[in-house]
Amino acid sequence: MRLFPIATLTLLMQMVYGLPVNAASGSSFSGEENVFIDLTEVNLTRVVYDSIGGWGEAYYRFEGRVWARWETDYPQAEHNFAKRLRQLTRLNPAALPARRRLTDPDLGDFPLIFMSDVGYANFSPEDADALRDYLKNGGFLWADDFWGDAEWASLERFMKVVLPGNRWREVPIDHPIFHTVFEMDEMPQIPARSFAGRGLQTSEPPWVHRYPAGSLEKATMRGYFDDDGRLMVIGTHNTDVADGWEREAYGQWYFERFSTKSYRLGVNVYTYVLTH
Amino acid sequence: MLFEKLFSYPLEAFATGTFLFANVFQPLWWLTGAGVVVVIITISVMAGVRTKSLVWWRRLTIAGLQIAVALGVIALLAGPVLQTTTLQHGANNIAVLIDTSGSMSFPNANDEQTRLNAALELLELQLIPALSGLAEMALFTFDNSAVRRTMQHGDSVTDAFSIEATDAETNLIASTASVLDSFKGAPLAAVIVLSDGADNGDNSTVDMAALAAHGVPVHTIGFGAHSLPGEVQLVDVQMAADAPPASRVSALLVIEHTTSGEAVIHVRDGGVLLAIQRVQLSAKTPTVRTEITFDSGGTGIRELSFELTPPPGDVLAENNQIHRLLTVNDRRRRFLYLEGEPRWEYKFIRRAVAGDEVLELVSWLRTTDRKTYRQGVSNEDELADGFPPDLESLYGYDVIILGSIAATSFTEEQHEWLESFVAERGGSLLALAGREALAEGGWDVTPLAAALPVILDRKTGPTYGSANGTVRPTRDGLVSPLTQLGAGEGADAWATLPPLGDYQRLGTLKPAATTLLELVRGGTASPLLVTQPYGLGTTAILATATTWRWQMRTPPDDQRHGLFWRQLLRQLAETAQRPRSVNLSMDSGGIVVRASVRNKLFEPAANISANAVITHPDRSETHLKLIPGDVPGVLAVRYVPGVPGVYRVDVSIEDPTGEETITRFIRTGAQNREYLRPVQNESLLRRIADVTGGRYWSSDDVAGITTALTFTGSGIRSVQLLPLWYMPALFALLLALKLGEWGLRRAWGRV
Repeated sequence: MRLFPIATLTLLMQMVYGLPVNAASGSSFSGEENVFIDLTEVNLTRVVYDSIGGWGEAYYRFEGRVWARWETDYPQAEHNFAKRLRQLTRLNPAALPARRRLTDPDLGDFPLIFMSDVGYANFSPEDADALRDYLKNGGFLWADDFWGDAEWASLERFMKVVLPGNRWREVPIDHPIFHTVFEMDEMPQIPARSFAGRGLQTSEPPWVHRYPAGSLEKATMRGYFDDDGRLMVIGTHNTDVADGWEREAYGQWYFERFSTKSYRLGVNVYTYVLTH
Repeated sequence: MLFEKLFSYPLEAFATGTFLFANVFQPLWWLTGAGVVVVIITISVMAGVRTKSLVWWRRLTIAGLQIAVALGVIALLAGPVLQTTTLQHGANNIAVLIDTSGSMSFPNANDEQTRLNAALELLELQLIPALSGLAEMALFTFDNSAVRRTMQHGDSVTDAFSIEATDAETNLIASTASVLDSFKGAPLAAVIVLSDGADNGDNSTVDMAALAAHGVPVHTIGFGAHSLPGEVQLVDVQMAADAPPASRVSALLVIEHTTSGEAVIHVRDGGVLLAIQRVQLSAKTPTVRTEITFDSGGTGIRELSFELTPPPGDVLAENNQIHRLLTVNDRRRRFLYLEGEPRWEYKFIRRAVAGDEVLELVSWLRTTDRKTYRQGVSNEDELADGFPPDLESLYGYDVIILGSIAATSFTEEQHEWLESFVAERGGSLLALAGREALAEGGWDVTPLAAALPVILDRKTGPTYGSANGTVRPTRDGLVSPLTQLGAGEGADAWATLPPLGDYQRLGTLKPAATTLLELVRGGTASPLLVTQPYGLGTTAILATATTWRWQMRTPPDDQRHGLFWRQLLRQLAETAQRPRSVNLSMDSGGIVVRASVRNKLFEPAANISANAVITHPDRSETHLKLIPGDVPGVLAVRYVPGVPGVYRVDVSIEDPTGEETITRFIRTGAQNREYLRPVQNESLLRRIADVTGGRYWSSDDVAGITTALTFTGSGIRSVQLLPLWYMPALFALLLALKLGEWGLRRAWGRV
């Protein structure tokens, strides 16, 4: 029922401003469509999901176009990350990223899925069932770029449905996921390029995130562990790792201060998932 | 006998005798006379007035017939005799052996009488009367050994000895040999064996040549039917003696039958049903081999019973069951997985074996060009330099898995080690597909290429790439223990797996290669899993790296991906040689305990000792020391078991590197082999007779045996000259020749 006014609004915007519109359904997505999935490669995969709310919530305008929440940083982040993975490691990533809904029947072809900006995500029971099976099979979910208490609570509610009886636990810095390739001594906080300053402050402002935002100061990685102690879900909270990938070319200082950390963490996470 | 009527003497006399002319003292005169007769007849016929009207070839024919008659008469005048030897009556022994083994209690050919009763009847009614004037008869019974029987004059055989069929197995050849040995120095004319030919003893020390060496003819008289319509029997079960816990065990069953219909096989451990399988029997294929798989269960000993339920009409129920022991031990098998790139196959192989009681997967992964990642190492030093530092360390693994890793990642010496790991250490090596695997990785020019089951070829373009195909087991794959997905599911278990997403084209398969799995794309099948033995070990290639799809694209409760990998890796480890091993076997001398000990370089170990503790079925113990034999690194001892049952054998092996105790089990007396192949084994009886100069006799017709013994026996013999001039066959021949000549003359014009 809520989609009708949203669709009307976005159509009007397109007519008035001539802006490209990205619907959550992905059917008119302007990025990589019908990408051939080569299973001899490691496919970087973005999860397509619905979000609640309207303008400023499920959708927002940035750099001359309208974005759905799921496609934040997509696909440039994956493009850059694939190049860096090929450059820095012996992984064989696909040059073009894939995107899938949790309920897509071939989700299993992507043993690591990445979702961004999940603070307003609106998952269905079917999504939960599909994700549960996916994780039980050995799949891995990385949720990134959600800030503050309300956005955390949103993902937490969903994950309680997906994996009842399990719970989030903070992943300590001595966990192998921080050390598979690069030695890391802290969980980096990466702000979106537009909020990044040259000072000590690295968190994003509360007004750009879901209310009540609460504390945004400390970046953490929390995870769900399976019965054998392996991580199967991680949430990188109060940080926007993918923005570090996407915006690596937006300034030398941003690259050196943030993108390098994003890449280190990304390489470590991918290597961990590919080995555990 | 017609022969004897025509030729006056039995065939044996002619077969053993020498032909002579008794009246010929001056052979030249006789030959001259014969020549003169030939010339006269030839001239008179060819140039005679009466035959002048005939064409030349008719005259020649008449002359030939007259010459033949004339020469025949001359031969009769020369006094033809046959010089032969015959048994000297009353001066020799003849040994008669009666088979009293279990199979002699089965019905004889076409009557209700048992084989033993038929043999005793034949002995009493025919042989004893026939032999009584010929030689002194020595009577023996035998099953697994021969026993001499004595009989008072006038006793019937059955009354005298109370001869009954026993439950024992038959040692036909060895028993005959022992009887021959017992007559050394005494005149023995012949041996007569009354048997169905079932010989299931261990004849490793007595062969046919040894029987023949005695120079005494052995006559065999066969009892029992040559076939049993409707009979179905489980002849053999072939399976490994031990297995890892929670693995799929495969057993090959051999069924022989003379019927059609459905048979059902049950495998039980005690009373617990492990597997059930139906087998279609067809009269066209009297021998059926079928594989059955079941779970090994936890550690310990499985007393397995393979039971065959035949279609209606089976004759003997006693040969439908075979017992086997399976020792399930949890000795950990060490795997070294060398991988050149982080990829999903690596992850999911590790997950498939994680937590396994047996599989210890040590992996070495190149994450970047300069960094590696080790998993599963037992200590900080293991694989610290990326590859085992020496041959000893490499030989510590049972199986090596080569992933997508280029040959250039290893030194020349390491390549030689990899080849010798398979050839000399007897390890297993599994190569996976990948963008830097096999031919793509340059492995075609390494020493290991000789060990792989295919001829790697990269001259015809890239070999590795994306693909979409389903997996199908070959006939070998369906029964191979390497490729078992679940109980009784067979090809269906494979057909419903998600398609694979990649394939590496393999080169030409080598002659010893066996394809177990195929990838089917558009109706075309390509080899997917190929194995071959090489040296002491085994190599295998799995031409894909997307089996992880079987895990990710199936419901969470679908265990086939894990089953596939655990089964494949466990079985590869099972075929790998072990430095210390103990083997138990049974022969006629008892249980043979054999320990083989190798050092860390898998060479026969020196300075070794081994002691065995044999625990009997009643829990009592016997302690034995194993003794070195001719083979370096091998110790052995033989033990004669008492009561039948399961014997536990703990062998403590001590070598310079330490001590290890290996436990094995063996069952004795579980299977009465008398019931296997319960028909008459005529070929064996014939073979014994042939090699010794005797003769095989059907129990229906032994009338000529006295004559045969008279002319062919050994022992004390006398020379005989048998006149042949009154031989009816000779007169008949002369008469026929003369009548033939007369007939031709009349036909050609009364000349």
